[in-house]
Amino acid sequence: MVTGTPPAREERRQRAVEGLLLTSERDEGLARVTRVARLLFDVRFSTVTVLDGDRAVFPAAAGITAEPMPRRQTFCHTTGELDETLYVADARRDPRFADLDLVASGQVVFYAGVPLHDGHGNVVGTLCLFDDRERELDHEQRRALADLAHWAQSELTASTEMAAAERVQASMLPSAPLSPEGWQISGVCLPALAVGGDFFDHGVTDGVADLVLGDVMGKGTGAALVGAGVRAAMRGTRAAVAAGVDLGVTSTQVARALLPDLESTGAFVTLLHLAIDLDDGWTRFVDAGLGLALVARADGGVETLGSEDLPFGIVVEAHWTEQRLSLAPGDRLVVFSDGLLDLLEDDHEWAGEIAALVREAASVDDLLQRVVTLTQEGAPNDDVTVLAAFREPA
Amino acid sequence: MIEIDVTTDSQGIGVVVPKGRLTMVSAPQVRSTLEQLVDAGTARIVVDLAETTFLDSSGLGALISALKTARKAGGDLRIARPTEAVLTVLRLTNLDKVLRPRDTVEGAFYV
Repeated sequence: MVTGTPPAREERRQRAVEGLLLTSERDEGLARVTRVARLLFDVRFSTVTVLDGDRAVFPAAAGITAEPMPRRQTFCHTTGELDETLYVADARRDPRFADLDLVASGQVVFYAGVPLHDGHGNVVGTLCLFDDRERELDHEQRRALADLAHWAQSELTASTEMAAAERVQASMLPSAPLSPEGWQISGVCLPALAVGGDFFDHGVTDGVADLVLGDVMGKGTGAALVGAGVRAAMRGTRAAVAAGVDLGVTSTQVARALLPDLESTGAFVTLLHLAIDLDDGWTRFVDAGLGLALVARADGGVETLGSEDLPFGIVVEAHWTEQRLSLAPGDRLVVFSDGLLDLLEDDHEWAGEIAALVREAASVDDLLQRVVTLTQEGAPNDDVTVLAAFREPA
Repeated sequence: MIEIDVTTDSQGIGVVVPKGRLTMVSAPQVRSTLEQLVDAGTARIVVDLAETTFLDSSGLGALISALKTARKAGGDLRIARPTEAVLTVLRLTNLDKVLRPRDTVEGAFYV
């Protein structure tokens, strides 16, 4: 329970409500709770109510289409103030509520509301039952209502954590394309869930563009945590890579450093690391089992990039080998995660389709926009990530 | 959920047949089935992939993790009869070198 003078308490509570970041995904979880509550207690409707400033809003409601209403016109205002479960068997005979519009109009006679708290004890919402006849809840029912409130509270706060994680992960992706003279380099990462196991990174050090695309096995939060670690480890090699150290050597070092973490979490990572000399297009790369990259040559040819090397996290004794290629003016390089394969007509013969997509694009931005559109239309159940480097024609 | 047939042959080799899509949804179930087999003393396992229509990275993860578990227990995990879709994924990730596809379930431990 949160103490303090009422105004200070209300201010803190309001900040907590604003921190909830009401999102449609979270609302679906809450909607489930209200649907179950309505059925279980056989009431006219059930809502999750959030008091936002002088309004009451309803992120979830079953049995009614609930529009925001003035806070003073709600039972929940009182439940929140009391910070305890409130049972009102007959609101018409309770002077606190008899004058509410809902009661005066005959819509609501019975009310029960349980305050929902955030991790700091602020009342951020209420789970409510409403009926148009007088009701009492027995001991068993009161316990069931408390259980449902507990569920609603987890939905309300857990998804807040998820939204925060989503923002953090998004902020770890490069925020702007690279546009060194003569090149366009950019990527996009579209997680299937709020957060995902795909990531990409790019940067320029001493005239060398360093590009990484990684795909951590699995999806969701676990994969995202592992991905953040891999990204950091790869970044740590940038200076060495720019200075000309063999990518096979840096990859082997990174893989060995990551192995204990990958083993203990049962994860592995497929990854492609490229170092492009921006002056002359000389490119070195390591493919750790990603296998999904190609160059659409200016002259119409298509070359896929692949290797015999394993993903990170499979066996201790694995090694990685640097390979080389040259990007001439007009050549277009693209690297992507396997989520994109789901969106193709034929995922066995991906090279032709991807090459066509790359060639049709007016620019890297246009290519990425096409990928976004494909993803929105196809709704794949895997993360989709694409990273591209186009060398402008001479 | 995915349907998984589990049998043990006369040589004490476990044969596991996941039927359907081996993805993020079904991978935990496949993984725990395989781990339970190893825990119960069957460390030599053939995963018959003839009826596995699709494999994603989570599915691969389940196989790789079970492979490690089986090897730690002194056994091995082998795969047999992968479909073209599954083979594509194995080849892309080069994991066909670690999980070398075998032509038959019966011969998986003798080839």
